[in-house]
Amino acid sequence: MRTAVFLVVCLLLSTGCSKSPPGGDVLFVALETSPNRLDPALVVDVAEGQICSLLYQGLVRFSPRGEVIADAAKSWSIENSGTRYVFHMDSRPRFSDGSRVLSRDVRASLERVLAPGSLSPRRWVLDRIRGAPAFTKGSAESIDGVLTPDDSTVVIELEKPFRPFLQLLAMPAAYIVRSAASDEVGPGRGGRGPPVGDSRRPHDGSGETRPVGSGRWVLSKWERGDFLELVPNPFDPRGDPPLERIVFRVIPEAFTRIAEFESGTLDILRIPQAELGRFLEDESRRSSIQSQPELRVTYIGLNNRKGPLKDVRVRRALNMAVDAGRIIEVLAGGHAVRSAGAVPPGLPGYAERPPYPYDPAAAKNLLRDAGFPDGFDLEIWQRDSPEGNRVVEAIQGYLLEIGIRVRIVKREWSAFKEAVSRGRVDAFFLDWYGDYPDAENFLYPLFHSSNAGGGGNRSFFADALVDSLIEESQRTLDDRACAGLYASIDSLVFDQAPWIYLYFPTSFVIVSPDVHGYTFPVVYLGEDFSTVSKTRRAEGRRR
Amino acid sequence: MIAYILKRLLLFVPILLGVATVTFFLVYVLPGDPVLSMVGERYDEATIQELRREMRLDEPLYVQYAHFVAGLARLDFGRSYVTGEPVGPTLLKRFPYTLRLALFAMVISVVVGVCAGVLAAWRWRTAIDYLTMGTTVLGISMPVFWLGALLIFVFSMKLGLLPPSGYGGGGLRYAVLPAVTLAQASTAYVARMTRSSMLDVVGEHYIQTARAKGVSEWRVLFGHALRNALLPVITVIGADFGSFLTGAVLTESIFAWPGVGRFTLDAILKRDVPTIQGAVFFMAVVFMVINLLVDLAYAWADPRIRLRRESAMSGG
Repeated sequence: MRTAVFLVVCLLLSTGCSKSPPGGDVLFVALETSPNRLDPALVVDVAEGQICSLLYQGLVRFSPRGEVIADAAKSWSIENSGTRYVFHMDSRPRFSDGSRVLSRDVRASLERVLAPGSLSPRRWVLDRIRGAPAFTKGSAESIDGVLTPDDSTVVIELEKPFRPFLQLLAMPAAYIVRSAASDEVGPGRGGRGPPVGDSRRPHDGSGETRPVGSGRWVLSKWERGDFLELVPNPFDPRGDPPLERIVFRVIPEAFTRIAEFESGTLDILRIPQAELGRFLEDESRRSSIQSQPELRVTYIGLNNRKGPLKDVRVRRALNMAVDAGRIIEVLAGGHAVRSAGAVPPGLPGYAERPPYPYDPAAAKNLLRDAGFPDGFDLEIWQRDSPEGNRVVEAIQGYLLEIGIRVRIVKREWSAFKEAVSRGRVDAFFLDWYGDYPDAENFLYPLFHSSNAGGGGNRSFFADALVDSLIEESQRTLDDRACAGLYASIDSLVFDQAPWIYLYFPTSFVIVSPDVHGYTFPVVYLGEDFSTVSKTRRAEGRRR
Repeated sequence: MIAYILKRLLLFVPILLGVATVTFFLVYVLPGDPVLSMVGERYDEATIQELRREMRLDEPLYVQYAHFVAGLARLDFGRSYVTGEPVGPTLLKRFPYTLRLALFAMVISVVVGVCAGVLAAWRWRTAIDYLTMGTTVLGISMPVFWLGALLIFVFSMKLGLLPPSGYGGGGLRYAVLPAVTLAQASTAYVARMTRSSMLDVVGEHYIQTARAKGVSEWRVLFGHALRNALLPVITVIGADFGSFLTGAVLTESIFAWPGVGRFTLDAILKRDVPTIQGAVFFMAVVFMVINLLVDLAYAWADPRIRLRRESAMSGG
């Protein structure tokens, strides 16, 4: 017994006592979810994408303001009416094992995403490249539309013009990983990077594959579920960034993240909506707070193929029965823009148009005209989230006023997504996050009939004119003409009310006063922390 | 004794097979598609079918079950759908985090709970007794997430004495708040159980005899009464320790503790079937081992049980 007690005490004390609080040059950032895989071909969520954007380069990348800027490519030209992209690569970029980034690495990286059996959920990012579908089916040895005439030139040809293609190339699926065929330096020589996995097939059966990248940072430690530590890529030609390390800590609970920030052990905090008022009221903190209109639209999707919701009058009535302005004011503290379309403010194609007026009497008339004078029963599905709970309950109250009896159904994400994508539900509370800052990324997935269900169009909206206009906008390279097209499409869709339009949220972060040079990015892939620095603090000091 | 342990260990096999089978079918009855958890918000049907084939989810259920049982025989739960890592080694990697927290919580629960129970019994129907028992009611009633948040608020945000969350590379300071939170209800139960068992025992003749012999009150309480009052307390401690070890989901989430509980919760939310199956199997093993240890502890605490068991073994 005494031995047992002794062993327990030894185990408890075995790993030493306290760790000192964070000092200077190390940035502490929170992740709400734990990344699962750090292979660009397999990235699907924000946390994974954010880390990958630091470990890998694309030919191009997003700036903090959401513009497409050079990365591994130093310049590019768009030829043949937008079907041919010629990238001239910078000769300096190096992978974290010291080898040079070559055009064949780019080709191999694109091939491993599109390869048959790659199981990459992001093949749609690259499937507009000429020959990509044939390559994926296994009927071609290589992708016809990816050419590498020399070590530093990459030519990508598309089947037809696609306006936001450069933005697609800034997404993780197009990041460059070191090709196994690259022969300048063998795996592991002189570098700190992990070994090269099967560069052709992300799912190679060996479990985690973490290819070598050429980003500003290298993963030095990864304790799953706990933290990831990144250090500068020793071969990066741009030199070391001011920070010595970045530690991403996985902290799922919002309250705990706040406590960490308040205790001085976290440097950047995304402020939860419920806490926003408290932070904004504090005069001393205002200068540390940054806001950014999100690339996100929040809505109640209406299943346009189901029951009374097939009738556009009913869908308009639902919009007129809900006072979205009041919901924003009370539930979002006024920190959101009311939506009268799906394209967020700030993107070309956003147009201010009057939202559906809050008019329950007119809504009742519309319902009566549609043959539902006594209303009907409606199920609204939602994931369990603080925002969803508040908003959907408010909408339940509003709709009851016009005789629509709402039953709220809460499901976790997987069950929710399955039911909603298969069109089994009447209505659902959801938001759409843009992958890239272009209105196409809202209009095409959300309203083109080919994307009904899993493609993003979960309200099963279908309109031949909208489809053709969306396709036209994708081919239109002229900025002004395209913005006009986007606005027209958004207006046409809005008029048919496939959703109950709610709002575009605004996000806020607070940054520690010790941190300098951080910009809250428009796209989550847009901050590479290369210019962020941190003032060294006295050890043990707490705010 | 060894024969008894071997017999119990043999019994593990059918129980574990039962647990694994029930888990297998339960996971498939649940709504939600594991493939949809892997593909993000925008996907196409071809990729879904490809993933389904790769994960063998397109095979008939009985074939999947046969694969599962075959893997089970080799203690191979396959690879996580989400991370691609083998489930068994990943669970074993997470277990030391949970074990550390569970042990710390158990120490708090046993030391504080038993002492409080003995104190309350010793000062029966006095202010000390009422105060102790009142506190235990609070301890049992306080939700874990509330207490966790309160402790973080006071000790981290206001006093700055302890870190709010994280494993901190194993620093003892990081384990204090989660361990206290985890131990809270158990401590209260142990205190109440100890008190009532002690009250049963202190009226026994041998206690009066001990006092009459002039044995010190301290020795009477801890040497004579407590050992005999421990049986029901051991049961509570065993059950609590089992639940600590199999994952304190809420505590691990609040304190961002990378243990088995959070790992299992993540797997459930992502419909990571192999991980769920592995985690439940693992939990069953832990509970059975703990129960076996509790039974052995009974024998240590009460020689009558040991004698009965030995005579039963020899008679059988």
